[in-house]
Amino acid sequence: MTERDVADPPERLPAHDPHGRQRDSPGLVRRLSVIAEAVFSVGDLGPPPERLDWLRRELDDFLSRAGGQTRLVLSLAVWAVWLLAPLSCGRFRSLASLPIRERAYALSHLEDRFGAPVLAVKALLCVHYYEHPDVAREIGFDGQCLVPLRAPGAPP
Amino acid sequence: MSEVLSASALSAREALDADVVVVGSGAGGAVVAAELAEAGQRVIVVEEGAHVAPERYAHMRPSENMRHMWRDAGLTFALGLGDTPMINVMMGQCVGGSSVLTGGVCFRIPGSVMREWSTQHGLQGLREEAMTPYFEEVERAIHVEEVPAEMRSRGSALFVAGAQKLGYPVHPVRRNTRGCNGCGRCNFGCPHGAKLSVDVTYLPRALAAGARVFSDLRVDRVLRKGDRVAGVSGRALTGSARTPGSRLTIRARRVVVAAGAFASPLLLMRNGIGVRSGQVGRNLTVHPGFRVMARFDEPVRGWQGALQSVYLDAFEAERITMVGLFVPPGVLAATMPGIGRAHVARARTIPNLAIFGGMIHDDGGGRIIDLFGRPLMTYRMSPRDRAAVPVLMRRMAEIYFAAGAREVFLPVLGLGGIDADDLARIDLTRIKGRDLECGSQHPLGTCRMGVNAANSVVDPWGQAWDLRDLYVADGSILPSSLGVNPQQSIMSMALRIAWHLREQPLPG
Repeated sequence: MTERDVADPPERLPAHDPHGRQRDSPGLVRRLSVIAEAVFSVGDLGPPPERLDWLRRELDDFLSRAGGQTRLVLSLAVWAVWLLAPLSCGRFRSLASLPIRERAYALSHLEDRFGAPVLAVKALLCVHYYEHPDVAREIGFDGQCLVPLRAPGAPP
Repeated sequence: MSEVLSASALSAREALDADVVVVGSGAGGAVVAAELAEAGQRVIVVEEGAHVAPERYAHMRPSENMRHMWRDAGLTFALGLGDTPMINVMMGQCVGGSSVLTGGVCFRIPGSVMREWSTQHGLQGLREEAMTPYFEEVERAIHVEEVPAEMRSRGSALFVAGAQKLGYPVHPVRRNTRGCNGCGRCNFGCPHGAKLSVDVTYLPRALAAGARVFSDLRVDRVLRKGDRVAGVSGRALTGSARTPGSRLTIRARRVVVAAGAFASPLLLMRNGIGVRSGQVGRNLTVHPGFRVMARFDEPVRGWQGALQSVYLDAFEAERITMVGLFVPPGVLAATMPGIGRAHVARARTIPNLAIFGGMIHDDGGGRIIDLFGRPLMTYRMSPRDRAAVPVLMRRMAEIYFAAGAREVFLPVLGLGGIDADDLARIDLTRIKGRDLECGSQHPLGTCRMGVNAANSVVDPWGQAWDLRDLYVADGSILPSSLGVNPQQSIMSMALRIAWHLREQPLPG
């Protein structure tokens, strides 16, 4: 087992963002982050922590601007994935407590059998994650109109 | 457009008064506002969304654009009833509306559709010869031009090659552009000002003619005086959470509702307008859309070139139109199956992916409902539309294989890439609606126009049957679906209503 193989306890976002605004969905962002770590993992390794931090900030901003109905639908999808993924492959533990490789296996298992909530969660994660300039570069995407060259986190 | 003001900066005590108040600043509302302001009428435009200036949206990433400029951050869904998929219906919510967020594709209303409207719906004024001046004027105002072949993306060029191999003719689309450099992100706001959406055409014209435009105002009440409309009132939206704040009232002699096929019927039904017909919020059509991706051995780099450049109407008899498109890499990655290593490996093939969209000229079957103050959109596909889905997927996959695709990704949840042999084996008619991935950018028809108050919401000039001087001028008035991208049709219908209003004396 490597150091990264054992999942860190899911990070809790502070209740307020750096501008003092109350966060709407800290728990939802935390769960999404745990799922993201597995979706974008290779073997035992999740994505670099800096990218996950960036993703969490993006998701937090996105959810604060999405309507209540949207947040409700996403919360339901995340809950479904969170609860069903470990069960779908016979693991009676919470998703967060599974090592990354097992988490990815559980999500993959669920995706094959009950695709809709996994697709919803994956879509939300991918739309943001692949906008990170380093990730875009890694997959050979150089459409600068779609991912403008701007430091991550810098305002448009 | 520095003259656009946020309603959140206005005081509730401020008296706002106009000849005409236009609710909504998109393709319909902007046209009406410009035409009436230029005719000398005092016009106020109110928009629920924020004002994001072109120089700001030019630098937004797609997800930022979605959260700032799309309704529900781009995540509005129509609940699929029966064997119908859940449909992601994307709508703009910003100054300029969905016009800022389209691929710029412009079609006139197809002749067959106009014939149906005049013969089956009795709308003689919507015959082709009567509509031509409106089409021509809109095309002039927003500079509709054909996309040259050299601007096609490699993904579109491959689709064209496959279609031609199978004997299907493909045509260039026309778009409202000038000086496009084909950077492939029209639907997140043109970063070069080359797409002539209404925020850079009609709305500046309206402002120059003296109209006032207020963003961040959610209109929820229609004011009446006897049997006439007397204005509107709504709440200013503040902060990133868009919390409703102070109430503002605008007195006006005429009201034009142009909030789109989702919000217009809600405003009407919440104010008891048109409800006796039983048609408000009904007859929703969306052009259910399905995208098919194909992986080639060669790099495609589908983001280089015009976002939408060609279309194929060879399957019109089967009520299918195919139009080129591209989506950001994150969306491409999300729709491919796999988690972890499998997902990451597939994401690295994105430069080799081509994508094309197909939409169904639908019969309708959708509805907008006000459920205890919350909007709910439902959609039930007709058997004919549902039967077209497997045909659409098979035809598009065949075209890609003819072009040399290694594997094709159909919009089916849990189905990975398939090769030509798999396609021949799979019975696509057995795929359940709930397993289909479906999207739409074309909600229409929820306040339909007609000649009879019993089965329509507005009369042939867009006026509500039961409230004088309240007009509707957006995609909601279209009597049936078009089968093609509706932007120009909406603008032309709005122009027809605006020119009519220009000739009608304002009520005293």
